[in-house]
Amino acid sequence: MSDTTTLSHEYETSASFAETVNQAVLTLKKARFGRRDVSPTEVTEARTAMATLLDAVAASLGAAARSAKAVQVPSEVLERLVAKHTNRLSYFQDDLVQTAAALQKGSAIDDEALKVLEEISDAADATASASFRRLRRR
Amino acid sequence: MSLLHRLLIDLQRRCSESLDTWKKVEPTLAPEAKRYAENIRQKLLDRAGAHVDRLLKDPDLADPQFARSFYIDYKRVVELIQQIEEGSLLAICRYRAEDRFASLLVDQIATEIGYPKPAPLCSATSTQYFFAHTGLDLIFVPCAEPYRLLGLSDFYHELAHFLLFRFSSKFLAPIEAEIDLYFDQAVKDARQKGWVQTLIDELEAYRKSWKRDWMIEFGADMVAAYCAGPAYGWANVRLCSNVSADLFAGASTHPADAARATGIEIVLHGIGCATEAAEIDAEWQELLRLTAQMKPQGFDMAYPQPLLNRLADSTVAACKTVGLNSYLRTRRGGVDVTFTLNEAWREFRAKANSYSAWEQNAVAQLKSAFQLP
Repeated sequence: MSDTTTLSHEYETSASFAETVNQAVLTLKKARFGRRDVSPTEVTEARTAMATLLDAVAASLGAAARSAKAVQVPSEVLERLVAKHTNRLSYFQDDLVQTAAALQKGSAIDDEALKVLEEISDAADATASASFRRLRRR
Repeated sequence: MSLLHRLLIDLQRRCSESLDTWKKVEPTLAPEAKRYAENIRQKLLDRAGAHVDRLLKDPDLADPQFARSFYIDYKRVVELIQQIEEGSLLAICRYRAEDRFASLLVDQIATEIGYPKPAPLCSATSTQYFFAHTGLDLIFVPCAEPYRLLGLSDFYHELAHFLLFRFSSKFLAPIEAEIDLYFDQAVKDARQKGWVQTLIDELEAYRKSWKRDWMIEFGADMVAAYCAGPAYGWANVRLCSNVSADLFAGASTHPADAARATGIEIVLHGIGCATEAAEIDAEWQELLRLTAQMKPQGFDMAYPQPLLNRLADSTVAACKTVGLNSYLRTRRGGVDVTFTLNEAWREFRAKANSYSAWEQNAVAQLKSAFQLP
């Protein structure tokens, strides 16, 4: 019943989210740079997973996206993204929706799309790392 | 060689050393701990080691275009290894009589309440009261507590954390929806009534606390009350009497104790323990008088009773969905743990002076049932 249980729960949720996102982003990066150690199936799965996630993030930030509740995004990840884009949130929402659509359609992953994907992965990583630190330095 | 490459070699060595220690200890363990050790080794430690090996062999490891992603990957694995070393490895390396008793108690509780997974292992090495490591399937218990029946209903609360984590779509998603529904309406009403912006911001801050941490604690309390019955309510009064500073203020990730007591009371009423709930509330009121604390202004804004009621309904429904047995269904008598913990409270409240001897006898019966010396 100490704080540790809640912090452990938070960490597991955020770490699992960060790991999933990073794996998908790595796969898409490898596809973007023409690496052959990722299969077409893995790339398709990563595209679908990230498109769904970007839509969920966009919807959580207030954009009109395709699906709002398909994926649970840790609230701290959203807070980090909002804090980073305070002055241009609507542009960032557009970037999310456009990148999600491009992934869904199977369009080439350009530098702009990669930047958006890395931003989500960075926010997820920062959240998991901060959560781990809270768990260890109470 | 890059920093990341060297870090991965260091991590590979750590994985290998932990695995060596693990393999020496595992065959010497009692059956329940051996099962746990085998499971965690295969599920986490072996997989972490294989993951590090894969990263070291990746042809793109030295390519700066991928460095950030590989580093993020490395971070999760190093965090996992650190947790295993400080959690599971510690637990199995010093698995003693009190750990075993606690583990078998939790295993028995899991059977009684219909916990739908293998029970977690216990380690009586905590300096932070009871806590659970959901990712490692471990419950930490203070070393003096395993034989003190009055506090052991906290095990139900910790088991509930595993359920909330693993069945979050059944427990937490509906609770989150209720929270949004409530605060959406509250904010709308506040605007219609012309509340100042600072008060509306306060409502939004409470919504955030609820969704971030409080719903988990309330949820775990409510599952515990559903499964353990009045013993959990009594144990909560005892715990709050012992450790609370301000019964009406939250602390870190935890909501206010007074609100948690209300949440437990609502569930006890709901499962047919209204008489016991009233007795527990009377004792809670006595604690309030002892501490000379009163409900502060704004408390109901943070912890509204209608939201607690909806939360209780939603949590009890989720308990039924995952097949948990309520206290009244587990209450069978004999050496059942749920029954014994409730009997312990009945005995303590009736005869506090002679309770110690009763408890020793009850613990001896439980040990005998678990075939422990």
